[in-house]
Amino acid sequence: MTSSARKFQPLNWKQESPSVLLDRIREAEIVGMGGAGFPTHLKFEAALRVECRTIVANGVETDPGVSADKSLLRQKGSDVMEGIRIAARVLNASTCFLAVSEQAIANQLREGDAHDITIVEVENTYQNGEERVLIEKLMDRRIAQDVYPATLGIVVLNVATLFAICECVRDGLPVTKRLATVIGHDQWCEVGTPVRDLAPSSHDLRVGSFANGRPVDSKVTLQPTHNAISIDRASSAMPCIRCGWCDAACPKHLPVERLLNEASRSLSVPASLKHLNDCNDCGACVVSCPSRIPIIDYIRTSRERENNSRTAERRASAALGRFEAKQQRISTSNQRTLDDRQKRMQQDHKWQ
Amino acid sequence: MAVSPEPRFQTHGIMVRVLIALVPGIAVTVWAFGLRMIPVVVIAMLAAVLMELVCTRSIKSLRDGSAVVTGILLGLCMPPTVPFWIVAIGSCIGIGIGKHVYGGLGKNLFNPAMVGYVAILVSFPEQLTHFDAITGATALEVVSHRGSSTLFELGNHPSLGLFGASGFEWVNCAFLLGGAYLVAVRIVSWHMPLAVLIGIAIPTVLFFDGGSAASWGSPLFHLFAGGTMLTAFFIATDPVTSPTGRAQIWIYGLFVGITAMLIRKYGAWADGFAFAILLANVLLPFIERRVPVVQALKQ
Repeated sequence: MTSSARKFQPLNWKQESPSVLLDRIREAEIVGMGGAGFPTHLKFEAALRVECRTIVANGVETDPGVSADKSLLRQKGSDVMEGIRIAARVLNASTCFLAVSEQAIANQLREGDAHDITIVEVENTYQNGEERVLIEKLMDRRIAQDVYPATLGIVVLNVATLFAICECVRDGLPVTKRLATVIGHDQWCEVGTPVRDLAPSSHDLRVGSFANGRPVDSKVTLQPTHNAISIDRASSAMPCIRCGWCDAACPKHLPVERLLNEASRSLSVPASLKHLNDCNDCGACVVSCPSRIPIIDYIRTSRERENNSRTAERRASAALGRFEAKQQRISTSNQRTLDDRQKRMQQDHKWQ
Repeated sequence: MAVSPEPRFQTHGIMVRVLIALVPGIAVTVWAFGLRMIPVVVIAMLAAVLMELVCTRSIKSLRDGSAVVTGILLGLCMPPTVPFWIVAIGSCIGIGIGKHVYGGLGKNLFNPAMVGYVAILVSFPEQLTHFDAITGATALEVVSHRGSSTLFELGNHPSLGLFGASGFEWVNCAFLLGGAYLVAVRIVSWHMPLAVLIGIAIPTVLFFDGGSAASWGSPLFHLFAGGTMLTAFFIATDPVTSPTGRAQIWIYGLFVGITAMLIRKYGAWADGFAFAILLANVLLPFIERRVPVVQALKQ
């Protein structure tokens, strides 16, 4: 990166006040680069309302075929550590965890100065990289699906986000490139490159892992949140043979096979909505499927349709309620006018 | 590091392993019932593949291997003396009406092999129940129609083998071996075969009665007679027409076993597995839908 790309003044973060650092993170528009894209400064602000704060740096990457975060830790481990320290200064955090899934990476990071950061190795099994699962592993705290960990003072940050924080604060660099796994190879990609140019030989691509990524048009450009570009296997899908392996694979024990068959027949089953909303898009079912069916696409479509129709129904009934109330108001006010006139006429009559 | 995790097997991988698991069963069937079983099985398979091609008009549809498996399973149900054209008709009905009328792989309500088998079984009962040219009757028929004699008096009937039915006992052992392989590579969970076998064992244990004239026959005999092991490991476990939930699997398997035993005892046919499977297939949507409700009510 040349110095011409520099957009902000480099800050000596050890001396700056936390609020200046937070302003810088806000200005640089840092978002969660693990895929969620949640604005990082909002996460920090939510956590700042609580007394005790903990930072969890998430380097556990269990999505199948994705290794961008591991490569980042190998290449820029010290910068990621610095990012953690900057975040710790902003948040005045009491504890910092760095969770990694490979022993070699953990050893490499421990060789440097890591007295203030607890480096934890987490088993490289699927789902361990999920925020709430990771928190439970590290801190033995179970957090409900509808509670954001940041509101409890636990800030989980992807290592790529921390690297971006370090760069924007220390060097004044905005997020213009990121390390992404492009069809199995980790490479630095400029943000904004058309996905088609990154993987010119493939037609069907997915942003994210093949398991839980989303199919994209090849005209889509790379975003800071895109940690991987994978080949879409949907075209080689075979019919569902109801083997039930997806049901067995689902970490949430959802009836995946039933949801898939309802979705593929565009059936609207009200009872399934809760299941659809419980699914956290991990893609374990896609990995387990012997017929290579992109189950998650069906589940997402079905969930969207169900939720949309719920919203439409709710809006329609609210509009109807407003309409009826208005009719009621009009008729009562008309009645009142009539009554008043009647009364006045009677009164007038008395005066005559 | 480029990793490309795959499921344990892909669909055609499943079918290939089912074929591997069928090899000992096929070999022992040929040994027990004669070399004519080879053309019977081959014709059943070829007719199934041909019907699959006719129905889908695409050679790609064969790559999942399900038509081959269906054909071979149907061929293995056949007696050695069966005319070849009947076998071919069975395969065509199984694949055509049992599978593609419903929309092809994964959408069929009934096990295609059993649809084909039952169709020719009720159409050509003479040719399809004539297993052994020498004794003329299978052990299941002998035990079922033994009149007032006790099992002990039947003891040295030529159709009875060492512990099961003559010939069938070793065929069943071979299918048990192949089935154990399927369980070992985790293509089939052990619940379904065990449920079917327990379904067979329950009534036979209850009504064994020490082998008197009213006895249903010994549990060991019924476990190693007719198509018990073939059904338990290869037919009841067909993923498309069996349930996926644990509780549902047990209900389905026990139903198949007990129904097959009831047909063996009281039905017109010596072996009742084909009908038991089709009946269970009819009940499958009910089993799948209702059982979660039962569980929810308990909580």
